[in-house]
Amino acid sequence: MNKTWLVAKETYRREVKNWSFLLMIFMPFIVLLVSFFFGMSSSSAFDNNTKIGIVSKNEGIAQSLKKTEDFDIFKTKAKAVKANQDGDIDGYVVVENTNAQLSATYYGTDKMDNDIKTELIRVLNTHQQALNLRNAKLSQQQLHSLSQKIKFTEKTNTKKLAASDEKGLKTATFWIMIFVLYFLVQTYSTIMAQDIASEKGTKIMEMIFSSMPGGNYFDGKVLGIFLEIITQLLIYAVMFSGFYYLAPHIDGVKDAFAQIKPAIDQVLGQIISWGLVFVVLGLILYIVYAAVCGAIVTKAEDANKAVQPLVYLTLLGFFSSLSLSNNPDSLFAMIMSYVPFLSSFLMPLRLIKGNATNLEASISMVILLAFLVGSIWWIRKIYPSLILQTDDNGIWKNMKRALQGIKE
Amino acid sequence: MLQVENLNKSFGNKQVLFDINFNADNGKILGLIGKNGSGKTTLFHSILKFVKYQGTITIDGHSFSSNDYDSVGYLPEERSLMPKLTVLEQVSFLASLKGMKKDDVKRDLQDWMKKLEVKGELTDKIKSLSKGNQQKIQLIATLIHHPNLIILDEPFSGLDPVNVEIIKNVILQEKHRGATILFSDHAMSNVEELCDDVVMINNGHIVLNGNVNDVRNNFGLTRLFIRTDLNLDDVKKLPGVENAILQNNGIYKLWLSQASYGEEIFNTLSNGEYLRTFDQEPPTLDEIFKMKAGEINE
Repeated sequence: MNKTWLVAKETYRREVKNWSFLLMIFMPFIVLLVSFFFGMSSSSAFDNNTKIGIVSKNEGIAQSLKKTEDFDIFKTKAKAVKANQDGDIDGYVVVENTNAQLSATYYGTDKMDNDIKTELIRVLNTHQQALNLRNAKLSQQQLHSLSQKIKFTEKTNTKKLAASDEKGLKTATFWIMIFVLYFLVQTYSTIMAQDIASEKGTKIMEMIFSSMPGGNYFDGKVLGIFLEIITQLLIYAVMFSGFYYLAPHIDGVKDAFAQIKPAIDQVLGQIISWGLVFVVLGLILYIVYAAVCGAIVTKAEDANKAVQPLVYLTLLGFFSSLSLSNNPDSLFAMIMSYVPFLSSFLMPLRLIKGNATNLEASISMVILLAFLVGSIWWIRKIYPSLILQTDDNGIWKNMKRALQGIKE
Repeated sequence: MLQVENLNKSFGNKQVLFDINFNADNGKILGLIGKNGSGKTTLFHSILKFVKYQGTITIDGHSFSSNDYDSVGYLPEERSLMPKLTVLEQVSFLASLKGMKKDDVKRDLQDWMKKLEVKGELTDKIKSLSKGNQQKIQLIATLIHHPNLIILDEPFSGLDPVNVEIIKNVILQEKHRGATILFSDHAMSNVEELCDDVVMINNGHIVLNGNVNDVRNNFGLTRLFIRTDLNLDDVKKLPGVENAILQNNGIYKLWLSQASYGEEIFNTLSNGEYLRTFDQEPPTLDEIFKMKAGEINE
């Protein structure tokens, strides 16, 4: 098996088998679920326990209300009062029929829950309606006329999106991609740097470099981390697909989902774009340089410090695109949209705002690609020298020695 | 066979190796000895192409290339493995980089662990093993793929005498298999015991190079070990004696200015009588090393 692939596999296996990876993947969902259940439990704390007694001689009403868990049926008021005193129910409603007029009186210490009250009134209204119809003594035809229901037909407008809507969707897609780039760089640049720094402290690297060229080992490390990133994105994609296909069948979610589905479909349709090219190339560039940051330090605990310049660059890119979103034709945005590291944030912004042509995007991409290829070529050369230096000379001296290592 | 010709290496303006020349033959052990910082590890790094250098290093007549990685086994000076991996995972990973299949590693690893008397299981985490056993696992990872060229940088450091013997036996087995072995050690006794050839480096220069016995014999039989009733002062007055000490075992060790004085001393002491101990030897590598290192420093 190819040695670079073996290193990638080992790096990937070690990272993914780690608990912190699973935690990183599922933590956002755990937080969401926990907050959801907290919200649910606090809002429905009374719902779950609230039970209202119904005292009614009307079997129809009793049967209708019995179907829900919110009501207990009592034949006499005395039994309801006792149940209320024993704490089995939170209150009770006495339903009476006086001359075809239903009346309901609630007895309790707290106000009746609104949902329960709505349900009770709905059921009582249905029965009152039936009583009214019976008392009116209508003919079949009159009954038929009164039972007419409205005809409701839903016709959706499939016309092409307006230019402003399309621009809005492109902007939304851009922000999603930029946020994903920002999130992935922030997360994985540290992981990459720490992984390499922790290995650097061990002499096992000499054994590894006696088995394969250091440059190939570097390729394997970067590839392994990219497999980890792809795994994370795939897990999210699978979860999103599951939600996408199940949501229309889940009560309580389907209505809300139906409203946002067209927007989701259109955002997904916009993913394949210039922005994606810049984001992917930018991510590779950041991860490759994170590997250098990890290789420069001599102690694993210094990896976070070493990777700070990259973190600041991402912050600069992210906040520049935020602050320049209304001013993409500024000189700063124009120049920086050609500068690797920042072009991944600013060129897609300029494209969306109609401030850059495809030709300009192509030029920026070629610059980014050339810089990336050049960087990888250079880093592959200095990587073994950086890794084999275990003297704590400081970052710049280490870098200088690594550069000397290439020349000699 | 490993050939090193006119090897020079500098870091910036500082030259650390000067015109290094030596050969290491197949089926032989070459000991590389020198003080700390004398350039031994840099020499190993040059052979393995970790660093760039001036000069020529060839393995079986060709320069070290990517095809040679699988036929080299290197044990670095300091020991360290990946602590969270199991023994099998660690050795499998390193051996797979040498082209071994996982099934072969699993089969051979158990034999190696028995041979080196490693106390642990394949499924044990590296961090759960003692330092000595970790060291043995690292040696196994160096040798399991049957390399033709074996480079061992201080393989005995930190090991107790029992484990040193176990590893010495393994090194000798590898020699008999036909491997070319280079190893460095501070304990000259190990070098004398194991090595066919020796290269002595001091401050980046080779100060001695050749067959171990030849090197020693070239210094003449100037060490004399005798058991006598004479006291130390009288022993020092014997002909040709430069210095003498009484060792703990009751035997005097004498430094002679010339080997030929041995016969004269023998005749003086024995006077036709039986002598329990009379042994004339060349200086040890340790003594030669100290002399040579001293000469260079002077």
